[in-house]
Amino acid sequence: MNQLKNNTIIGIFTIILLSSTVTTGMETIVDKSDLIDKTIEETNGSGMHPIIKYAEGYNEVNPDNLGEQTKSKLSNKNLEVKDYTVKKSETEQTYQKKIDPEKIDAENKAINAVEGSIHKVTIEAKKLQNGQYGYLMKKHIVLDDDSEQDLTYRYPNFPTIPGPTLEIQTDDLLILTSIDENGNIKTQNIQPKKTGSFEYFGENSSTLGLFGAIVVDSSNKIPSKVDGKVIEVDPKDLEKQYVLFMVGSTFWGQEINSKHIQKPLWTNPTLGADLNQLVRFHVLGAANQHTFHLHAHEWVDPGTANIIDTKLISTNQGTSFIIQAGDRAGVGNWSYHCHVFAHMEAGMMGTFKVGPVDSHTESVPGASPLDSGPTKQGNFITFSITDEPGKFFKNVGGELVKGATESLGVVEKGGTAHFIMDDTNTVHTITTLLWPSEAENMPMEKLVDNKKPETTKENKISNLPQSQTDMTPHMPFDQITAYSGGGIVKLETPGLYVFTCKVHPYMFGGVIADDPETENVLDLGDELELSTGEKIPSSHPLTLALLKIFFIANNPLNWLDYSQDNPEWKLTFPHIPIKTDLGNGYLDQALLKSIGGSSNKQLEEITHPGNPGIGEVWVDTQFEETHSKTKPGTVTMINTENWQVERKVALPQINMNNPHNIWSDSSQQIIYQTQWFDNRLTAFDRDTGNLLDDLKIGDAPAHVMTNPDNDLLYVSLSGEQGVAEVKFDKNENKFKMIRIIPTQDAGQNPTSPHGLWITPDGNKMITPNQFTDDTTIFDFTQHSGNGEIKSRVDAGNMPISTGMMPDGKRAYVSNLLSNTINVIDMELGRVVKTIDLAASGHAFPIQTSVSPNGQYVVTANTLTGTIAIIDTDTNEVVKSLPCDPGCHGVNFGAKKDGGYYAYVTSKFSNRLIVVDGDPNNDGNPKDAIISGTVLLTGTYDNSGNAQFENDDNMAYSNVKLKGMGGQGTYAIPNVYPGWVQLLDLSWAGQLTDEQRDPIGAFNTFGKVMDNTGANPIKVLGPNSFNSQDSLSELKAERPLSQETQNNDNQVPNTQKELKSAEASTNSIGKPSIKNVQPNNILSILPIPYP
Amino acid sequence: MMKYYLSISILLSTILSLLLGLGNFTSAITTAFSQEEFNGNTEYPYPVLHKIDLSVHAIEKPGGDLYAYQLDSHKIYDPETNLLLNDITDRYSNGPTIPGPTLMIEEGDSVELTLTNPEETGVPGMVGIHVHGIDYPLASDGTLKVVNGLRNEGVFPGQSITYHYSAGPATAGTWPYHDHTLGLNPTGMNMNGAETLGLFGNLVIDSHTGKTVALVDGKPTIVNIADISKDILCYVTDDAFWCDEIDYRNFAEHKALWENPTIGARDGDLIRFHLYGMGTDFHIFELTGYDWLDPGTTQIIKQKKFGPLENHVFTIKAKNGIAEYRDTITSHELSGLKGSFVVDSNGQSIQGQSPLEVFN
Repeated sequence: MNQLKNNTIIGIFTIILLSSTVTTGMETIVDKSDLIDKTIEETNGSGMHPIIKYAEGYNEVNPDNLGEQTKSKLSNKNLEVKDYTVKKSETEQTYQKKIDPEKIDAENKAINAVEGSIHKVTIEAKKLQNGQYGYLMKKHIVLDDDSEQDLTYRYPNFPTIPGPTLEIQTDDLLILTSIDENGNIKTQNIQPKKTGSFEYFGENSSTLGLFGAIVVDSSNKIPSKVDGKVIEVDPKDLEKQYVLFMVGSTFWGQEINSKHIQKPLWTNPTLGADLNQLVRFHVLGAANQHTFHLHAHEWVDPGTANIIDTKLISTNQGTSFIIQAGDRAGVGNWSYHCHVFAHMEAGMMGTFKVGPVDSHTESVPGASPLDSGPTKQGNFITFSITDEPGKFFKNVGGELVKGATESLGVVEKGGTAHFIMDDTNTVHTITTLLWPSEAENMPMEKLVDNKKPETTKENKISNLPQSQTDMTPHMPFDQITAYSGGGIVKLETPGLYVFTCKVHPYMFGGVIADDPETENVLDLGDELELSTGEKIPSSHPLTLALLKIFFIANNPLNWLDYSQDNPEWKLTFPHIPIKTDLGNGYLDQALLKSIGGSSNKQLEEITHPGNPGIGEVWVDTQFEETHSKTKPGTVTMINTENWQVERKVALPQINMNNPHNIWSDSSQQIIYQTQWFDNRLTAFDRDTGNLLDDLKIGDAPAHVMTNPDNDLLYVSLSGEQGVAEVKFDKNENKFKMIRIIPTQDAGQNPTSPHGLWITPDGNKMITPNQFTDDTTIFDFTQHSGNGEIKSRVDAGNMPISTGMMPDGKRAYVSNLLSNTINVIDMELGRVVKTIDLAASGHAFPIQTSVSPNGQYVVTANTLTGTIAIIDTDTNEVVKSLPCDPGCHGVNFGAKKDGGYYAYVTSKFSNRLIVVDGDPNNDGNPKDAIISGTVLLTGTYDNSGNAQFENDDNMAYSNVKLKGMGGQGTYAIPNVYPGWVQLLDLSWAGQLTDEQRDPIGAFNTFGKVMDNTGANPIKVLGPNSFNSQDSLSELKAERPLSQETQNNDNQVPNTQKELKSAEASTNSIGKPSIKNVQPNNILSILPIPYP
Repeated sequence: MMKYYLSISILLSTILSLLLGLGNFTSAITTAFSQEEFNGNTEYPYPVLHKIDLSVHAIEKPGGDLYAYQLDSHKIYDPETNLLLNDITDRYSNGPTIPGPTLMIEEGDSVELTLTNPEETGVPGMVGIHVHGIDYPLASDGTLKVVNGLRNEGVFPGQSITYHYSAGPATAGTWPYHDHTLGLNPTGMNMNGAETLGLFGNLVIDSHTGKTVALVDGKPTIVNIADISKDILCYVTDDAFWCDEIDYRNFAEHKALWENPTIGARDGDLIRFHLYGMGTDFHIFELTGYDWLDPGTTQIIKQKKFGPLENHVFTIKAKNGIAEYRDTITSHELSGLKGSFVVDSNGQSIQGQSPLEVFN
């Protein structure tokens, strides 16, 4: 892939007639509609909009075919606008070709009929300091029969969002010339045929600011609700007009006064008017679907006799209506907002301030990209939310300083963080992970001092309330559900704010809100609060660990590339002066100190495991970018006989987007693949990599697995509210959606299920729910086979992955943000133990898998880059192994001649780590080791030709982020209990008896729960031991790798392990889920600072 | 509870004009809106004052509580003499319901609504009521001080607040009421959207003409509101239809139908549907085998797209058989956003699953 996103900005317009008089209920459906539709759409970054769109009642005419009357009007005037270079663009030629000759006659007639004025308008797309775009009015000249008038004075002399509003009459001709930032021009001749508010917008990046309104009036008056009556209002009598564009989760506003002077109001402005003044709203949509609502005012829905106060606004559609300010409700701060709940939460609100008669209440502009700030980017940082690895939150203004990544912004306190999900195919949230603790609850203090509301019967307020409205959402900034849109928040308190997406919790965007009083340094704030409720000093090792992973995750140059000879890891952090609670310093120095002082580290060479495995390992190299896709991700297949990459599946024909998790059918022939940053589930042939089907299944499909009982697929939809049940028809090679099983009851907050597991008997399913901090246990056998939710079991912060014991009685659920694993009794539906991973040196656990024979659990920890091995006898961490930053996926496969390998992936490296949890095969994992590593890039010959099968021209120079982004992993054959029994002889024949019957093997080791389910008791087995034994053995254990020895900051040494193991021994039987103290984490991240 | 007035309504005039074929909507509206009635003061012969007591309650559930409004009292007074004219509390369902109780009033009426958040069973934070469509002063907006600049118009546990509304001219229609505090509690933690957790209901302001328009046998027809057999009011949330019913064959009894109920009617009944979006998702509603009038027009439609808090109200004539109401957006329908509309001689609706049912 050469260009992940072809981001050429073209300011040339596409004019769309937005009907404000739509009365049909059959509107075009966008967004979440028809998810089962199998139409596969190309979603290139460019060409998002057709060049010309026609709509009913609207003509665009070829300039050569203007009527004689019009031509003569034009020829008499010198209308050249000479202050720009004219380049005839390709676009214009394309446009001319598209004119349908049959239409021209009709258009000629129309143009000949032009009796009104001719507007010659030239506008230019300009890049703003923060990387957004705005349109600037260059010239607006009106030609009447015998006069020429220059109206340019009506407009601001700088670019604005929205762009200039073009006010014309139905019988006017608009000759609109647009200039893009490269000087290309395009001219369009537009003749409106009906009244209303219509949108013009740029062909690319329109959501970043290239949009504006065309307001078309006629001599007709407009039915409007005034004084409780519907009367006709002449648009000429309007006091003010407001233009509001709904984009993402932000209003972009503009005011036009009675003299037609335009004033930019920017974001979520306060619209001012005096009581009983007649004002008109033009509300238009430039991205996402919205419902516009204005408090205490109703209006006539254009084209109907219906009186409404809430109106659907779809992308590129709008409405226009006149109201009487106050509308029998009186003066006051009346809220206007989007009524989409997630958009409200994300800040999509403003105030319509109605003052008393003759008070000359003015509109007040909101935050603007033109506001000056501490850097050249101003005081308004806009993040584009993308599917692009390392740039999931992309500051559209670019990288501030070298190494700062494109995911960091700096504002002054009071500055704005603004988000728009404009380059992603799925839903997200904009959620603070970290914020200055002083910002907590703002502006809630104002609330609690007024606990007792008066029960006044006050019906009249003669004056405006004194107190200013403050619509700023408080910290934490969050939404209850994943959605399409954006977000906007003012950062009033100085300090560091880190935003994430709760669905995809390694998407990070950071903003430092600087206190201008502290000169020459950027304030991180003294104390920061985590979304878990913990408060930590800004110099705390955990802060630094989070910043470290922030700068690794957001900068692919900081990822570990094992494909080099003599591989090295060279870290770059931004050289930014910062202020913490302990004083001033440089960010890069502090971070380097925290990892041992050196930015260069020698990486281990790749060493294949000595013993082969059975079959294949498939790895989602989710960030690898190939030749012809605009979205990242391949699936990499490794032959475990020789540990060579033999195939990469990129699926360019469907632009496979961020493949996240894999499973197969029972025959092991069909691979099922989720696309987590998209809404699709894909099936391909294991032998050939050929695409079989691609199903729109629902937003953010995370994990997929089959039910061993019926081979149906279960796909957790982390952007929806349930698990999709899908059948794959092997005759037709087609998916068929059966239903979506909600993981919460109706009305309850969305759960966002992620790494699900199904019991080996196929009777139950457990989902870790990322949004609700609990799990759902679903029982398929209840409710006449339809199944029902059996229980909701509380978990820690952001449960994300599940492993299952072979008897289906116990599940292990990892809690990403609380650094714990809950052991859940599937029958009782409750937590029987909470394993504190932080106590043994692990933080941010992700995938957690139980070995097929039930002896141990392997957990990948993403913040610490470590692997924890838990003995299922004691439910304690008995072993810690090193991993890479972003350590993520774990699944088991069979080892040749008995035993298992756990395959462990890391997002920010390109190797697979192969763990043998029980090398001596005695059932005790305390001797777990890393057996070897496998390079995920595959190999290339000297001419750069790929030495593996692939489907996207994967020559060396065509592939970027080679082998990176390891997440889901899956071994063929599937040897988990429940599934292993389904293997045919070709696979089963390669397994040992014990591997073929892991449940039998599990029973041999005989793990039985006591009556309360609180502690598992070992009843028999060759290797009983008590915790003291294991501790003494631990002492003798040698660190495994070079890296471990060299860097005890990254990987806990045995001393620390010992201490924490003791600590955890003391806390047995006292499950404490939500009270992980910072001290625990401190103990694992012994980073001296400053 | 229906009363009839003799004056001609704006809606009626409009529809009449449309039916008489006076041309396009603009002229129809023009004709309608230039009725002399609307150039003078509208008079309502029998305006009344509704004193309504509502309370909010938490419905405890594993995985997250729901919240619901409950009607405690609805009395009708003469606004001049303050004499009690009627107590219609008995018409409502007992206990909390989702959606909240459907409040039926008429143009010209006024409302004094007192909301209580009980100490014990209430909602653990500030909640309120924000109503659409009806006239009210800023002090009855139901929003927080940070929004309205005046005061917090909600209640913490143990508190009550009274809102004052007046159904002035041109307020006829179905309007939502809902919590608008965004779910904030005293310690500042977000309660995650009380509005979406069940705190929503309907206010129906009937035209003082006593008339509405329906699609009967394929034709736009003016009907008496008194001839309507049932009002069916459903909120379409992100994961269910939540319905309430008012059965005029049964003394205007309100019946909570809960989630995705089976809606019953008798052949030939006039049934008025009131639909609302709520939450974050958009919906495309369909009632299989039926078409109806797009509100405010004579356009016949069989599907309607709407988003959160947009309303869609229409009246149809029920015909024998089983139809399905559903959200045609596939992922919604697959997750169960649908139910049956059964027209038979029985005509009884069957309640859907209720969150009050014991979690097993």
